[in-house]
Order: sequence, then C-alpha cells, then structure tokens
Amino acid sequence: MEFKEDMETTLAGLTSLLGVNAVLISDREGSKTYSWYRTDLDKRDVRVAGEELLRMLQVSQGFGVNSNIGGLANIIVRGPKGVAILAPVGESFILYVSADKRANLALLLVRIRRAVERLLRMLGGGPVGGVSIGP
Amino acid sequence: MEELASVLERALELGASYADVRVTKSFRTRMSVVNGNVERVVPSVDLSVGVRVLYQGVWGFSTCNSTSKDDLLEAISNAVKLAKAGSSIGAGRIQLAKVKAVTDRVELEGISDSREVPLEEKQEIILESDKIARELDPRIVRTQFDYEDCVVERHLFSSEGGKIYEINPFTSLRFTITAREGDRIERTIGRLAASAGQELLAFADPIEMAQGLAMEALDLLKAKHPPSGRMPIIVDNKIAGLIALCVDLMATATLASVPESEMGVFYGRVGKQILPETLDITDDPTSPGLPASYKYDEEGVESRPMKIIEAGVLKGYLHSRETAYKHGTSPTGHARAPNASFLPVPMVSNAIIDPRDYTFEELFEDVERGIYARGIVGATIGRFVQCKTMIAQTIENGELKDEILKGPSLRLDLLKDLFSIDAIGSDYDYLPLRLTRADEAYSVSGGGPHLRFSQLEVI
Repeated sequence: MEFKEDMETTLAGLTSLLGVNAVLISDREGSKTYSWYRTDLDKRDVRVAGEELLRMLQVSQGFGVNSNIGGLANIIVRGPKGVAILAPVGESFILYVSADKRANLALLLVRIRRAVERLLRMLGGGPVGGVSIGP
Repeated sequence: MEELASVLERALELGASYADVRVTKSFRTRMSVVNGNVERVVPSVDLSVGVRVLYQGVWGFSTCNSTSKDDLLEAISNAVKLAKAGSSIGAGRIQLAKVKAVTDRVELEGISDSREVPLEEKQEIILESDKIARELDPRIVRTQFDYEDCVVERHLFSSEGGKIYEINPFTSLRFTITAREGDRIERTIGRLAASAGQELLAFADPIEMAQGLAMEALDLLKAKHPPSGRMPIIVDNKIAGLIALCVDLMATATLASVPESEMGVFYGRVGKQILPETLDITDDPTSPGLPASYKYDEEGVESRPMKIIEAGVLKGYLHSRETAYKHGTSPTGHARAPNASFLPVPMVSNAIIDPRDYTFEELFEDVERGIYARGIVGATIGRFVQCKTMIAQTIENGELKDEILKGPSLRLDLLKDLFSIDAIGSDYDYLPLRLTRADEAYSVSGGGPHLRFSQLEVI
C-alpha cells in the first residue's frame, strides 16, 4: 500500500491536470508497474500495453539517434481527440500519459518533467512490483 | 459585425472613390515574473476601429473605439472632411492597385485559444522555468520572465465588397537572466515568440531555454574580452536573422522610395545585383507559427511569400495597394498596421535567408583563427548594422575552442560586407523581434542558417 500511496503522491501533479485520462508506468521488460485511469474513463478505451510502450520507445530512440536530435526527452503523439506522451524514466522505466483536448500540452510537459524527476528519486534504477488503481 | 459594411455606402455618397472599415479586437494577457514572484498580471481587451476613405486621390482617416453605427458614420464623415481638406490644396495623387474583393473567414485552426487557458496554468509554466534557472547556481542573482499572449480578431470591410474576418494568435516569452560573481555582472537575454497559443510553450521548451540562458550567464562570468579588428567570423541563426530582417526592411516600398535616406539604398535598384549570388532572401507571412503569420493583410490582400533577393538580385519591394500602383506592380500582401487605429503601410513580416549546404562542422573547417558569435543583446539597424552579440568562442585551426568570450560588437555595411560571406549553413532558426517606429510596434522575425564571413569588423 505504501508504494501505491507514494506513487499517487508522486503523480498527483499529472493525475490532477484537466484532461489527463491515463497514466501508466512500465518497466523496460514491458511489464506494467503502475496504472491510473480517470474514474469516468472506460479502461478499454486506453488499450496500450507495456510491450507496446517499450516497442515505441525503442523505435523512437533509434530514430532519435539517426535524426541527430541529441537523445530522446519524450515522444508526443497528437491525434484529433487528444495527445499521448511517452517519457523515459532513467534506464529502467517508461512513463505514459494520455490526455484529451482539454489538456494544456505545455503544462502537461512541465508536469511530466517534474514527475520524471520524482520517479527517478523514488524508483531509482530497479524494477518494482506491479500495482494498479482506478476503476 | 456585418452591418458595418453598410456604413461604407455613406462614404461613397459623400464623394469618396474608395472606403474601408477595419476593426481590431485584441484579447491580451501580460505577466511578469521576477525572481520567482509574479509581479504583474494584466489581462486586457482593446477595441480599435479605423475608417479610411480615398477622395480625389487623398486619404482621409479617422478612428473610434466603438462599432456603433452612429460612431462609425461620424468617423466616416470626419475622414471624408480630412480628405477633402487635403484635396483642396491639390495634394491628391494616390491610386490603388486593383485587387479582387475577397470574402473569407479565417479561424484558429488546430491552434489553442489562449483566452480559454486559465491564468494559473500559464503562470505555472513560467514559474517552473524561473525555478530551474534560479536553482542552477547561487550566482544567478536575478531572473525576469515577461510573458504575453494575445488573440487578435480582425475585420475588414471595403467599399469594393471585401469582407474578411481573420483571427491571429500570438504568444511571447522574454527571458532576462543575470549572474553575478564579485563585481562582475553578466546578463543573457532570450525570447520565444510565435503565432501560436500554448503550443509555443509546449514545443519551444521554455524550461530548456531558461536553463541554457542561465548557463550562458554563468559562463560569461569567466569570459574574456574578444579581440577587435577585421577577422573571419561565423554568426549563428539569430544574427543571420537580424541581417535578413535589415535587408528585408530596406525593401519595403516606402523606405525604398526615399533615396536620400540611409534606409533608401534600394531605391531604383530592382533587377540589379546588390548582394552576393549565394544569397536568397524571402519575406514570408504565410509560414505557420512564425511571429508575423497572417492570411490576409490589412487591405484584404492575400499574403504570399515574396522573394526579395534571388541570387543576390533585388527582385522587388514589399507593397501595399497604394505603393504597388505607384510602382506599376501588384500588391504583395504586406500592408500591415499594429491595429485598426493606424493606417496600413508596407511592412516586413518574416525575413528568411535560404539555407545552403554547409554542415555546422564544415563551416569551421577552413577557419585558421576567428570568432563564432551567438545571440543578440541589442542592435541598431539600417544599411549599417551595429550588433552587440551575446556570447562568443574562439575558432583555431578549424576547431571551436571551449573558452568563452564576451559577445563582440559587430559592424556591417550590408551592401559591402555581405559579399564576404563565403559559406552558408544548412540549418535554420529564427529570431523573433518587435519592430518599433514612433508609437507603432510590429511583430516580425528574421531567420536563416549560420553564416561564415571571411572578414568582418569587430569593434
């Protein structure tokens, strides 16, 4: 329970932001470590899995290197209904956030940056047990 | 708003050959954060209305702050009186180049509307940028962030049947970071600006910029003075942008029509080689996101990219309808005004030097001893540009040295020194600027690649 509460506190800046629908953390093996969904969201609407996040990150990291953009800070995917963002958390974890059009993308990126810093302090480099909260 | 068009008939009844009504409604938020404290938040809504009539070749212009029919009819009457007074002393020669009357509506497509973003959200982004800069080092003694966003709704109705509504977004964040060690004080300045809403703060990364400027201010505390005299210089995109903007400005039809002025050096030189063959410069108000981006100018002429310099040859001037007629050409979509209280005049938008093929590393390869200058602290512009750069590094035997120099002051005669450009980079970035003339202020930008000068004067 302590881990779940710590996680909730760490990610409160993200989960409290208008428009944020889902926050997932996966390890680099593709296992979901933590997930949060907005209470009125049907979980089936966000179907990304840890393996998918991992695959996306691997492809983008390679693309980032080939594009000479100096590493990968985050991946932003914009669609007509909203935005999905992936951010590496150190060497071991991936943070995924999806939000609808009401979210302020600039503020979302600021809060993701802050969350990544906190997650790094909290998770360090090693994997942790899976916890899921939400509806 | 459509009913405004009907009052134009009154101008024609009073004898005007042409009339237009422009309405500008600006929704603006300004905010200043100094050392982590929000010092000023000013939300405002400004309405300005301008009525312009052409009577026997003379302009009459009147403004008001209301769109009521009575106020507009009074403004039209005043404008016609003014024009009649001018024509009675035989001043009238003005005619307008013909254009197709357009009816169009241009909305904020795919761009966030700053009016709908809570102030607290904007504030949080700025405070976070401020925090990152201040926490970097105790020698960062002062930070200042000046934020502005606005959404401008523009209406134009003309007696020729033109009816245009266009909404333009703009967001800007100016950073001033001061570092101090003992008696030495150094300051860095940066600015992000775009025709966008919060997208600017999402994609231009203000946190990264605040951090970068703070690090440069700290670097400058140890910086040596640069050498002076003529030497090889490589300038970054921002300095290249300033150069592009100066050339572009001198190509505005009004300035280029005054040969006796220092800014009138392009007078009578259309079609002539005035700059090196390697240089192409374009003025482009159609680039989405750049600080001066619009679909229609203040006379309802659709904007288009205009090649000012092609292979060093001056291709033409930036025109309004009036100057286009005078020069026997077509308007270019560059009639601009800060708002409807000002008469539209030919004005630059986004000046761009076309990139070529040198990579960043290749630019340095042939330089035995020179300077790489970055950023701008201030500049005086005209044919002779004097530019105080922000920071510099020495180049030795084709390599960029780590040692930081204070930004040198560069002096250029645009018509001579641009011929010493011997390499043009393949990259691109732009410098957002605010061009002020008396009480008029225009958002403009200059952009381009890194440029290498074989010789340039450092003063």
